[in-house]
Amino acid sequence: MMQNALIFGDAIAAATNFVVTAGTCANLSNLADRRLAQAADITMSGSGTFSARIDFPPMLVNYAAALDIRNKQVGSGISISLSFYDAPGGTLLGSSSLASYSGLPTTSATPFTSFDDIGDGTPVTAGSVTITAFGLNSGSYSIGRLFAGIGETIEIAEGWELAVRERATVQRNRGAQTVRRAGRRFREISTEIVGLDWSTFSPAGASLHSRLTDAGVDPEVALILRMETAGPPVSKPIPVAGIVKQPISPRPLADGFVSLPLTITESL
Amino acid sequence: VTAYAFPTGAFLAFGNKIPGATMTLSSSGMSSASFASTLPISNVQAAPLARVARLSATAGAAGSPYVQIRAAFASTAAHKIRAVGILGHNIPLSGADALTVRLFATNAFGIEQANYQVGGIAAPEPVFANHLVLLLPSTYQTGSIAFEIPFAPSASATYDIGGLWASDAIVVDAGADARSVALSEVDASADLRSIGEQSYTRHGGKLRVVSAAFSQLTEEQAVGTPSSGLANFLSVASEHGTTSEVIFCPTVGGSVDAMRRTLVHGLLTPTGDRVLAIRKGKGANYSTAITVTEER
Repeated sequence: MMQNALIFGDAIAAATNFVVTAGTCANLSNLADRRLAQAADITMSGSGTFSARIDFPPMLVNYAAALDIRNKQVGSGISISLSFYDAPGGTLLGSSSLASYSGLPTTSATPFTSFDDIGDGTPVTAGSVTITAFGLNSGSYSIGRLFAGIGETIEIAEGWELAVRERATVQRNRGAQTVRRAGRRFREISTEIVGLDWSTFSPAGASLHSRLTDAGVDPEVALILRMETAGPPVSKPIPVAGIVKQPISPRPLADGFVSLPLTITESL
Repeated sequence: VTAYAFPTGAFLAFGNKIPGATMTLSSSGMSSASFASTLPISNVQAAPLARVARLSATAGAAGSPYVQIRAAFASTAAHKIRAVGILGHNIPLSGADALTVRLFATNAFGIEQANYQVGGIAAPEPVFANHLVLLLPSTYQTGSIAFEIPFAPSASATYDIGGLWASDAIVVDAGADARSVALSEVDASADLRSIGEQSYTRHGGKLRVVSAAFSQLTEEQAVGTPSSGLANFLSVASEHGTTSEVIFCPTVGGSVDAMRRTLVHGLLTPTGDRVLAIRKGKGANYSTAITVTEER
């Protein structure tokens, strides 16, 4: 079942070791760097398998997400799953079946995203993850970003706003015509978490409020938005992985409930 | 050939494939057909040079002579084409004159997928840029395109070919979705006075600004679902931003006149540093607003 979710504390971004164990992948370690993530490419030949191991310092995880997977070839398809271990080559703690999609029609197709809990969603202390991708068709894929951390499902307001911002340089040439040079683009989502009560803001370290506040300007937080219309679940959510805009200011509502306006800014 | 009927509705075309194509000239039944050497066919590929590619041709005495301006895309991978057109041309399309656009499945002009012919339309009024953009009834996976201009036997003519366009497009249904369309003409010229109190004019750019707000967009149109692969506002803003040419027509209105009066070829104009914002209301109900500025 797809729900809205927030994931904190990205294990992949903290990774220390990247090993390709089967198949071909260029720049696997780019997965750990949000500025380079679109440039980790795997190439699938027919229904082949790609796998790789990513080690990170022991960390609590219960949700994983693959954000903005793009195919680079007409008609290609892929299936991705992650398996978490307590240490490199250690005991399997849980798996997450992230994404499966075939027949993306063009190279410029909308990237797709998937997220899943690990095992039954109970947090586990993992130190290594194995990524396995099955090619449904031959093709080249940009994995986009992998994200794994402590997540929780949230209820958000019906309305939200997703803006694309760009810092372009604007100049004028001698003919007084505008010349624009592309700048960095980033998405920004503004929404409101609803259905909270004051226990969410208790001083315990694991409260939603303290996690959002602790997220500060870094590390990133991933917000996965559930979509409304029916369709293949892997294709539905909109992901925004980025920086939580501070301060986090809860708004008391009637009946003891609280809502939490939330803005997350992401680099593209 | 299929007579083209102007649809209703609005569209935003983005990611022109012509600049990356191989351009050639082909003809049948003509005694001569060539581009001026100083105003070559390659000018149609560069926005700053478009409108200065000049075709001169003389037809043979018999048959059905024609000239084709051909664009073959870079690889055998098909490109999604939904909007094709000629921007700022001076080909008369009234009376018996016509333009036929032919789409082919491969980049070798092999199997013809579809063709559409526009002709018998009123000459444009000078105040409007002579853009002619055909919003195709469906999206084609296309490898090459030919823009075909027929000639009467023994006729000869010289045409300025404006910029050529072929790309994917977001299509929004008529009426129900397009709200508060605004068209404006901006003249940025400055009227200055010298120390001697004599006035002189510094000519600035003339701008055409078209904005429109869309409501009741589907999830697919607003943020996209990859299962369909259809273009959406979020991916256009993310991938093309404000620095890549687009064509925006807030209403085709079922006629060439409505299209000519509202269609602009320019850049998405940001509000502050926002290219655009997509808002979700209750349920799967999305809205957004865009502004496109065309500089003359």
